[in-house]
Amino acid sequence: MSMIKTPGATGAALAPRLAWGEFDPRGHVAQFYAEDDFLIDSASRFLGTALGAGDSALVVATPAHREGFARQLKLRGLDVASAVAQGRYVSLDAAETLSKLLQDGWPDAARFAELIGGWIKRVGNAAGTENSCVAVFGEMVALLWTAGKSEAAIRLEHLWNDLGKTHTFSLRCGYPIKEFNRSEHGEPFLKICDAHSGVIPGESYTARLSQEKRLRNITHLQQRAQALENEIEGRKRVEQALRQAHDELEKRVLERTAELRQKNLQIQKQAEVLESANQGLRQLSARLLHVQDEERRRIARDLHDTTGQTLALLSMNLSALETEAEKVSPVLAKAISENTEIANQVSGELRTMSYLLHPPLLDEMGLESALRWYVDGFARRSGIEVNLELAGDFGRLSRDLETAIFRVVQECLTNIHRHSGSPTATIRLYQAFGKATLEVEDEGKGIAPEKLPKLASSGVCGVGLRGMRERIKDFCGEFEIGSREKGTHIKVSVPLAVSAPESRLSSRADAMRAV
Amino acid sequence: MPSGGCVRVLVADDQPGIRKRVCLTLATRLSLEACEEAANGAEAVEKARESQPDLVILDITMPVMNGLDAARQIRQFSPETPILILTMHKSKQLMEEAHKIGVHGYVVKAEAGQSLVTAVTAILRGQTFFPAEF
Repeated sequence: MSMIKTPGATGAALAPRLAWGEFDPRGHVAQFYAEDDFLIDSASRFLGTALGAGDSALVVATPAHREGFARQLKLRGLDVASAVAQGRYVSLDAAETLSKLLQDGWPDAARFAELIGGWIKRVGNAAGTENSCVAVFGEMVALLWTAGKSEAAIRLEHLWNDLGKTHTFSLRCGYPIKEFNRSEHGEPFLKICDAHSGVIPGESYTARLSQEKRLRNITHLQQRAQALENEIEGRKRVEQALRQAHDELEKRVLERTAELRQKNLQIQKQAEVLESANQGLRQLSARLLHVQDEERRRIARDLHDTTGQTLALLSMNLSALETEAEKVSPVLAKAISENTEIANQVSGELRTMSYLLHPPLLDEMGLESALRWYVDGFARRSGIEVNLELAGDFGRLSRDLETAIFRVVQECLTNIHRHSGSPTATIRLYQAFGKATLEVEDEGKGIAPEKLPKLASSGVCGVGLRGMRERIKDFCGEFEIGSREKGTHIKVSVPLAVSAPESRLSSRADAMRAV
Repeated sequence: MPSGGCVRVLVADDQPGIRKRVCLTLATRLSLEACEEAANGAEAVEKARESQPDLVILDITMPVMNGLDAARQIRQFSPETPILILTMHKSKQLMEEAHKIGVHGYVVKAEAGQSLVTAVTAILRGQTFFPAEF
């Protein structure tokens, strides 16, 4: 909607002069606008005045504006069709024309001079009068500016100025003021203004019809500018404060991160120290078990092979003596016989003690025989029915591994006897997938659910269970304990490819030599 | 039973006292021509091969070579020679193992005063002697 109603009103001192004859024939004016209607009305007056005076007009504008100009000129009573037919009025599409002028996105001087200069010359000649002036309205610079190519827009303005040196035309450039909406537009805005010989403010100023109203408008604009400056300053302070707060936060985050990293390193070091200590304890534990096994083995052998043999010899000597005594004194023979009985009794007790300290057949005959011997004795002593399931081809293992498995069975059966209340126990021993596996089950009361996690995770548990776990760990084996509704289940798996620690290695040959 | 009634016995045990006691007991109760001694299984095998005794008495737990391995080797070159195991081990499993090898008897040392002569006598008569149960 146009806000300018009469051409004569623009003749005031502070308003642009719209009478064609009063224009600088070589003027280059920037026309700022907020609304299209204002631009169309204002530019149409500029173009219409020239055409009405018998001069020529060249338009390089957007389609909407070109259409608006033609419509407005007709409304003003101009015979646009005739002017077009005479070649005095030419309207070009701004985008299309601009594309012909650009070389790699930059306005090319030669192309500009040839194309635009050519049009100005042709349009001017169409007027057919000497010293004719061409009214030119252009928006190619506005398109460049809107596209963010401010340097290219300024460059194009200078090309227009250069063209003005060789051609006679009055140029008005349309700029939408809304595209200059950022503070950083200030400097290029001034450059654009400097490239023009005159500037027409937007309609908010131009539409004021009296000087007093324009002065009030300027004062209002100054007030708004001051308010905006204050607001901008305020925002800058807020931004500064925010930036400082952000920097401070970043700094604290970095400091905290560094602290956490440091603490993490400390925790890692402590964990390493603990792991090392734990490793040492495990090694010590394994060593203690080994020493205990060896000591038991040695004492058992001493009792069995030395003291036991001596007792056996004593018994044989007493028997021989008894035989001789029977020939001379039945009383003496009876006394000797009683002593023989005592010697045999001591011998039996010694043998039992020896066997419990270390299974006699483990070294000589292997795990299978030792387990059968132990299970038979256990069943007799405890009254618990033990089912021993041994794979037929189990074969021999290293002496230490056989001892470890035997001790685990011994511990399991002891626990079943002491704690489970089970009338039966089942032992399975087999080799599969490169592992020796032992399973021991009972049908007793099981383990309380609240205790099971601790037992299963090698946490706090009885010395017996811990001992079993340590023995198996020493061979890189796995120890599992579980409890069902009725009974406890223990499973031990030891990889056969893993050797026992070097200090504990003993071959089958060693074992058999000792028999 | 060897002809002439005189018996040659080889006793293998790492305890000299046991060897001497066994020889003395047998000499007292039986007609012995000789009682040879060996201190380990390997020595027993060697002497059994050389002297072809009428009876070999073997302990099980001995250095160098145990009595069961010695029995296996003697069985190879002299299948008919009677062998008696005289051991500290009161073990059904060991006795069964010895039986598999083909020995003729098994006596526990602690009971030797009562059963050694009985066992040797039975074996020399071509019988076997194994305890009924442990």
